[in-house]
Amino acid sequence: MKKVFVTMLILVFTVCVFAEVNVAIVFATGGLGDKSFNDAAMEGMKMAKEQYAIEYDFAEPSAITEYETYLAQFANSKKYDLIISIGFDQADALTKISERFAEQNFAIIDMVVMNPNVASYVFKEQERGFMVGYASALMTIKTGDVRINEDKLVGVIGGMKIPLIDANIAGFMTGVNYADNGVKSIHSYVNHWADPAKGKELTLSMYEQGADVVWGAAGRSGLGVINASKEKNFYSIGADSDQGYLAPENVLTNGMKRVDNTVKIAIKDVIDGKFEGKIYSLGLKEDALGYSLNLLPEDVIAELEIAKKKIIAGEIEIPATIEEVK
Amino acid sequence: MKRFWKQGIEFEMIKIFKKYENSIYSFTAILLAFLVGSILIHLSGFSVIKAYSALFDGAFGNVFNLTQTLMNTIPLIFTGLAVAIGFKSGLFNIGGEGQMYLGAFATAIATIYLSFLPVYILIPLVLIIGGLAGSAWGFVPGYLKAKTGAHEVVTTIMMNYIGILITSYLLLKYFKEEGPIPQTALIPESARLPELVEYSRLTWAIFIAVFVIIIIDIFFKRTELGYKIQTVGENRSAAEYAGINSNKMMVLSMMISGFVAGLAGSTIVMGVLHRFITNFSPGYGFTGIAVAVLGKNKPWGVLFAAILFGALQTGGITMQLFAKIPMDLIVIIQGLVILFVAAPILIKKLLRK
Amino acid sequence: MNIIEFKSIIKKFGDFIANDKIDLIIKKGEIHCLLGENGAGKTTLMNILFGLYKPEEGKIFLREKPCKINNPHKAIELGLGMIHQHFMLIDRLTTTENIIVGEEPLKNGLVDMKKAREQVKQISDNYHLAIKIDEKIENISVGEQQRVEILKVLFRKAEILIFDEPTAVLTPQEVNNLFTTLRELKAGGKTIIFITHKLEETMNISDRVTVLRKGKVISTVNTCDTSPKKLARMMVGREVLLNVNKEKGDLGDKVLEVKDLSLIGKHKNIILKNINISIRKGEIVGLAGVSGNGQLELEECLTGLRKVTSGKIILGGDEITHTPTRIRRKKGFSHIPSDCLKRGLVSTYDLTKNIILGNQDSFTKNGFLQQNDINEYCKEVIEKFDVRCQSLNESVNNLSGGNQQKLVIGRELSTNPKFILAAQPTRGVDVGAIEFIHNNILKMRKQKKAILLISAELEELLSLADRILVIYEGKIVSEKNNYTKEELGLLMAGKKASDEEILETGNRIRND
Ligand SMILES: Nc1ncnc2c1ncn2[C@@H]1O[C@H](COP(=O)(O)OP(=O)(O)OP(=O)(O)O)[C@@H](O)[C@H]1O
Ligand SMILES: [Mg+2]
Repeated sequence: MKKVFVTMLILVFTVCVFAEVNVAIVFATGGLGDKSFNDAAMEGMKMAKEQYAIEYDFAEPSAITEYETYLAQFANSKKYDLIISIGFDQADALTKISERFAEQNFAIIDMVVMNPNVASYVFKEQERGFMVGYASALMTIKTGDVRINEDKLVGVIGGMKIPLIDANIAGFMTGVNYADNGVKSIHSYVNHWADPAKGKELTLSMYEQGADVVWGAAGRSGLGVINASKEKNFYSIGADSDQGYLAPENVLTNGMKRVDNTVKIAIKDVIDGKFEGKIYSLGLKEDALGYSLNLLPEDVIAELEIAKKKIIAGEIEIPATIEEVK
Repeated sequence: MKRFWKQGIEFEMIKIFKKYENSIYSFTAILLAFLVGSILIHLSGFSVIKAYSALFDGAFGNVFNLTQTLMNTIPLIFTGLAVAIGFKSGLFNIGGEGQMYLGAFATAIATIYLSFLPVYILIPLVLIIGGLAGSAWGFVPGYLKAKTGAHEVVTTIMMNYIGILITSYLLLKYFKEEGPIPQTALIPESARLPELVEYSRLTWAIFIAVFVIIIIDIFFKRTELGYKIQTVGENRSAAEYAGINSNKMMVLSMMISGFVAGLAGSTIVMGVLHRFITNFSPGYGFTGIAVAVLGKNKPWGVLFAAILFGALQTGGITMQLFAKIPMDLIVIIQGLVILFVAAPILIKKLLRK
Repeated sequence: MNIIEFKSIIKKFGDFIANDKIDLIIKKGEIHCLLGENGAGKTTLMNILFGLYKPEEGKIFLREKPCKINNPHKAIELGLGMIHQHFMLIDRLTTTENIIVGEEPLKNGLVDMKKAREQVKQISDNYHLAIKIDEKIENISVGEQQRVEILKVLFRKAEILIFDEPTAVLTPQEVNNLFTTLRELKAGGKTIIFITHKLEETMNISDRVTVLRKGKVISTVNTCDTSPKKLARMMVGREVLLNVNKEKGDLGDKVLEVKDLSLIGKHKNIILKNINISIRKGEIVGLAGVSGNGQLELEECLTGLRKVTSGKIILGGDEITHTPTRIRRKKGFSHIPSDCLKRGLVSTYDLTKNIILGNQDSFTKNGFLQQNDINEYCKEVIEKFDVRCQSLNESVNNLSGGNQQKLVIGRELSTNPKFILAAQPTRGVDVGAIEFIHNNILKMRKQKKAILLISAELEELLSLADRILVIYEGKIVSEKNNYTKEELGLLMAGKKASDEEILETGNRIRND
């Protein structure tokens, strides 16, 4: 009994010591409940609280104009060891606020702000592209699955032709080539982040051409990709978070962006006193990118794990632009 | 003698009351809203004192917070005025949001092409361009109302959607800056309104807003056109009897209303965002309706109401951040204010015991 | 029994005393008339009784018990019912809905429309108040609207009915019907308070009369002991000439000509057919007719508020058939509208803003209204036309009904027009004011203006007009210089005076 009491006391004590670290987070305008970045980031905060016993506050702005006010309010209180911005549209606001509060440490996820007190966490997009591309190539040659056709073709649909998306596509293509089993890949762009109808249209046209695994790296337009796969019963791959719930029989896997882990990493750096205002490129190694299991068969998972280890070990080169893909 | 005195005082009080009747009702409405709000806060298990002191502190507690309140007030002044102007001609302009987007977009694009102009021409010019874009957006429902009788509430709501989507489309198609964010490039330095307090984003736009209030006030009190528009709103039959072309007046008032709503967008682009971004507004156009209702459609009333709503918005941030009370409560208080203002009969009854 | 007793009631609006120590007794089962000039305080007193205003001093006894009436609900509870000077009906609702509103019979928490209809039907049968049960208010005549108001009051089981100038808007026929109803109500044991400006009506319907002047009770008399002349004298405080004397004048050029004007309605119904009118300088042409026979539409056609189907309107030699109202006004077209409150005034505006209505551009310089000039002009007009008000900046809502009318007339006669369209110019004004308005119209005639007088008042037409046209069902059925009252009444009701006459009229129209 006494022992238990003492352990508890120690526990409380440790918590108190670590509770010195305060973190604030400003979410993207979608707010909590978006089943995407904000929710994932919140998950990361909770994990950090559990593991490192930090305290946190959060803000849910309802409009872009409010980012600055929230960031300034947090910074002005001088209470926080780190203030995290979620979402790329906070860049303008954070640039100004971080200049103004030069003593305050900030972090931004998925975007770069070039100030000495801002740690920018971006992703090696091509790595997750590689994983899902490789998975697609291994899947499409399977037999005895109604969702799979004869053709050895897979596809990827990007939201817009911008470097970030092209890195994903380049990764996807490299992954397909890596399988080296005669599978070919095609790609196209929706040119909009929130046009599911167009996304679906493009997916269906890929399906007509014989593609039976299609990845949508296209924001909300990607919903159209999943929708199409559900309608015509073939495989689709989701992006960023686990979108399996949208079509449990058709979402093969997801190219995951682990914002939760990234948030945790950013907080850990501060706790360890390693905060630096620079660009961090995270990937498979840090568990900041990855894939989800969903409908993947055992053998494919095994292959993927082998490739993942090789990537982390630096044994596989993945180019970040389509032009570089051989 | 004593009785005489008592009567005299009573009479004076009635006179004062009559003069400020509207303001007294509005203040009572606000007080009641806060009172009911405090009950809600209490029932949700928060401390009322903590909540309201955080709210007040967040809105007016220091210079920075005050500047943020005023910054939030500016677009509400414009959108509130826009609704009030529509009301003057008897039209319910719910299209402030769309008109504001048009104004913001036009201003952002115009600055890019006109950046060679000297500042003292550039700034007024792009403001006017923003206003005209909003004006064009107000013209459509006005014209439809005049020609076909299409109800302006329906058409302005539809124009909101069209306005928000069309600016987004044009942006993505022609003007988008490189990068993942659907936004234009930053507007040139020369087109940015100077900040009054460094880093506050409170700019000269506040003076523009007050200037517009004065203009609109004079317009309706002193000008013939203002008189005609108002007459249409007060009594359309009488206006037509007097030879006033009520259709023309309705279209004009929608255009003026749209112009002012457009300025909300222009000043946000020139003072706050320094570029056009899709979905930038937290619904200024709609809050403008509440502002106009609370301000009794009077220009100076709108100023007062806009400050109140700006303060609630800004103070609400502090309340949310540091007293941990959900922002929804602010929305509820705003709703209650409107409820009590819109139900003056209730308040009149309460006041007359 | 004294069903109502007012004891030294005082009501002030600011410095102004609208009711000054009013003592008044109403007996159960009588029809009691309240007479008084415009602004004498009749409506105010009734509003106090009905709980709309709170008096500064004084008591009201109801059924010989003192009682406080703080609001209309209380008044209704106590068995009072008021038919206001300006109807308070909701245009978009049906007659039945208007009658039951607030007192709806319920079934399972929902309005039981079937029962409501039955109840309304029953009351309307009992008192011979014929209405179309499911018609919207906007589609029925003024007389019928009034019946709806009465039914509304009866539906709430009123014992005391207050009528504020009910006859001002009615046609002679409708007045007769109303009087029948009033007698029936009286026979049914109801008490009636009746406000009017018309002395004959008072003589005709009431048991007792109380005259108010400047907020004070002058006296209460039995109707059988008095005469119109005596009453007029009590009201105005001086001798009133009930008949104006008109000098003979010579006629000048034609000012207004209406040629073959026709108007076809939405449902292809004929509203006006081949109307021909010509009016010369210094001439008053009367247009007689029971309201609802096309006068209102003719009024709107002439002013440009409605497009004519065919025909021409010529003003001072220029065709104005398709000219907008604004230009017509510029050309010297002046208009006293029949519905003064709806068309002639903006009730929320103050006097100065109303005085420039229709003429606003004359007071504008560089787009700005010249408030000083306007104030001067306004002062002039209200002095000249004896509009009683407390200040130029009060809203016209505060003016008594008759003063509102005088304000409009003052405005329209002060613009030095060529032609004056005077539609029902004396509706709702007191005898003194009628005399005054009539004199002003005659003054205009003397100044060689052309005047079209649309009226439902036979006396008014007979005493003012040089020539009278009778309109019936959208057609001019007769035109003559002198009619007898009876003759005119018959023609207005659509009965032919004699075949000869019709022939004669027809010939003249053809020869013109
Ligand atoms: N709400 C008000 N505020 C100020 N003055 C008022 C108000 N109501 C009435 N008055 C004034 O009180 C006086 C009496 O008005 P009231 O309406 O009782 O007259 P009335 O006898 O009904 O006249 P009418 O026959 O013209 O209807 C008028 O001079 C009017 O200007
Ligand atoms: Mg009256």
